[in-house]
Amino acid sequence: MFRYISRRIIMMIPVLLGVVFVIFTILYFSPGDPARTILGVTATEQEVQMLSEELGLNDPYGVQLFRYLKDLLRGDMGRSYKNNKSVSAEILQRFPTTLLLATLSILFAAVIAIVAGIISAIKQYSVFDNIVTGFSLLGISIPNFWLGLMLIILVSLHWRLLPASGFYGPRYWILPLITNGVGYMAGIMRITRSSMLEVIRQDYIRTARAKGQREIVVILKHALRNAIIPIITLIGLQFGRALGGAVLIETVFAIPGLGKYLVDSISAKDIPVIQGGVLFLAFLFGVVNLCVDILYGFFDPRISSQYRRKKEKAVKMHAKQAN
Amino acid sequence: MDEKILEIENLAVEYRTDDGVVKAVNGLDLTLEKGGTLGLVGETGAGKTTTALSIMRLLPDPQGVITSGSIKFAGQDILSLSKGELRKMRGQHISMVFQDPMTSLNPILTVGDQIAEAIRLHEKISRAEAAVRAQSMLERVGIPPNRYSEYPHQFSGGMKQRVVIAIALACNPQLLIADEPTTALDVTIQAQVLALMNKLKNDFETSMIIITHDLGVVAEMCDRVAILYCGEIVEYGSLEDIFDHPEHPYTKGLFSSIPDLDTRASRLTPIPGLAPDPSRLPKGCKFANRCSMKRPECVKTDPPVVNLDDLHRVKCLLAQGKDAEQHATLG
Ligand SMILES: Nc1ncnc2c1ncn2[C@@H]1O[C@H](COP(=O)(O)OP(=O)(O)OP(=O)(O)O)[C@@H](O)[C@H]1O
Ligand SMILES: [Mg+2]
Repeated sequence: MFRYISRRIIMMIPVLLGVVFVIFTILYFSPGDPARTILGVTATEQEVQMLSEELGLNDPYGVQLFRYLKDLLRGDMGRSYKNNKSVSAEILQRFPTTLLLATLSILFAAVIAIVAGIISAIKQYSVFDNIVTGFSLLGISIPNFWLGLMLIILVSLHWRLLPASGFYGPRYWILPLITNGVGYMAGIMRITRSSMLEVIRQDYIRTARAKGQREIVVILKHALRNAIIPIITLIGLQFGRALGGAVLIETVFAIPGLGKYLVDSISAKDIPVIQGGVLFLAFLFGVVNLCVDILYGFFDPRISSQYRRKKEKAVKMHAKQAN
Repeated sequence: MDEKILEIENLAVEYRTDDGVVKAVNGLDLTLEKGGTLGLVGETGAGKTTTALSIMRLLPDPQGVITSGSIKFAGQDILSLSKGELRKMRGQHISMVFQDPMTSLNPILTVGDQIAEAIRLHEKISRAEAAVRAQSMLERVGIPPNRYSEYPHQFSGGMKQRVVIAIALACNPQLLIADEPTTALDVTIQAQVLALMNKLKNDFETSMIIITHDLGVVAEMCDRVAILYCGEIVEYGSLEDIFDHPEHPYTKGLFSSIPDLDTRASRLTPIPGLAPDPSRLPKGCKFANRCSMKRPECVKTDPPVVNLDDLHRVKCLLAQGKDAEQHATLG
């Protein structure tokens, strides 16, 4: 397993290099003059030329790409064209907030959704099941910024229970977390329900009951563990996406997260920020995917044994060669 | 042999589906003596699995419903047991080997753990002791115990079937229901599994119900045979009764539809037609539409059960008048 993980980590390097190459190339050849963007329309042609020279923007493509990669190795993603702040520092400063919001929302959504999805599946067509199904339909169709605004109007303005903006402590987390979580919850509920419905019809569930096993153990040990793969896959996808920041939620609740920072950089054509942001998101996705794959192996022996067999084969090959 | 381990009276089971009510079992009577082996024979859809699941109280919930009748196991009414009592019964007193071994094992648990689970549910022993017991069960069904921690996908079909049997026998049940234990297997493995079950029957003195549509399996394993058609027992008797003196036209039909080695010339004569749709059963004899000896009365009234002797009974109008009293006067 350790070898598998380290191999997966090493495999991430070419992927990230590819991302750097693609995003750098696209932005390099996209129209617009960065120096002009920085200085504004009032600057003279000469000033623009000087700044271009200073920033190395007149160098050939290859030289610039190489320089970017070299800086990247030192953790330097350049400086924002807009305010001259270090991109990596800005990203790292915002990331904890985004990470916190993403983790809380996903946890909140997953715990409730998985429990509700399981009950809904074992009590198919019951009142509870209908409520869950109805809720997930609503949750998927309600735009989350609208939900956020409604919550602010009701909970913050009308009832004055919770603060409407900022992200400074648990009291501030609740509304964004609900707003963000409802959509995730709806998705996880649906997939938990359908996956569980499929698994509890399987013969091996009946076998477990025929042994005299308790119903709760049948559901959690025998059924859920078999139904969990699609659930983990969805949660992984959602989490990866959530780590990129939730622009609308950050805007509605004035949360200083990654999402708004990155989206603003696009409209401002702030190339170093766009590059750094995309690269950072690609890195996060890679990490999340890796975690999901490790979890697959943990939950499904067919996946890990596939790998174990490969390893055994490799060991045997080695032994043969040594002889 | 006189003590009854299982008594089923007038059992009726239906499946309530969106497309209608499927009457899978209709007034079934069956008894099994302690230590005996009963063969439950019938074509596909006859209600064999449904009967077995009713005994285990494992009918699919909520579609499968027992609408009438009683099932007594060792004198105790199974249909009135609480959930907790049912759990105690399942696996410990009554076990079942399910029809399809390929899907009956949990793919994400090791085969050893799945056997040990059954043991630990009914006996207060440690994990380690259960593992040792499970390993000896594996050995008993002819699987090397060092394969304890492998997963079902690493096993062949025949080996999975053995694991399923090992699970069922792990707690020495008094009654084993084996639902087509050999249909999924090729002939050589089939013979091995049967030999194994025979051996286990002798070792543990287990009573068995063997569900099959293979009359060869019945001849080899059973001392009682029940022929099931459309959820009813059309004929019941000892192995000799059924094989040598079949009375019901359906039973006779079953025997003429297997190729006979002695008279090679005789061709396979399958029973023509199809069994009626279980959601729209006819009023009279359910076999009438396929019966070569049909009389006009057959479609009008449900035929009575005729006791030919203490054991042998048949549900057919034609058998009327051949009943036990007449036998008695003749004898
Ligand atoms: N879950 C279910 N829902 C609806 N109908 C069912 C269900 N299970 C079985 N049936 C129906 O009940 C009848 C009896 O089925 P059962 O499985 O008991 O047959 P069987 O004798 O075991 O057949 P086979 O030899 O094919 O295993 C069939 O008509 C079948 O279509
Ligand atoms: Mg069946």
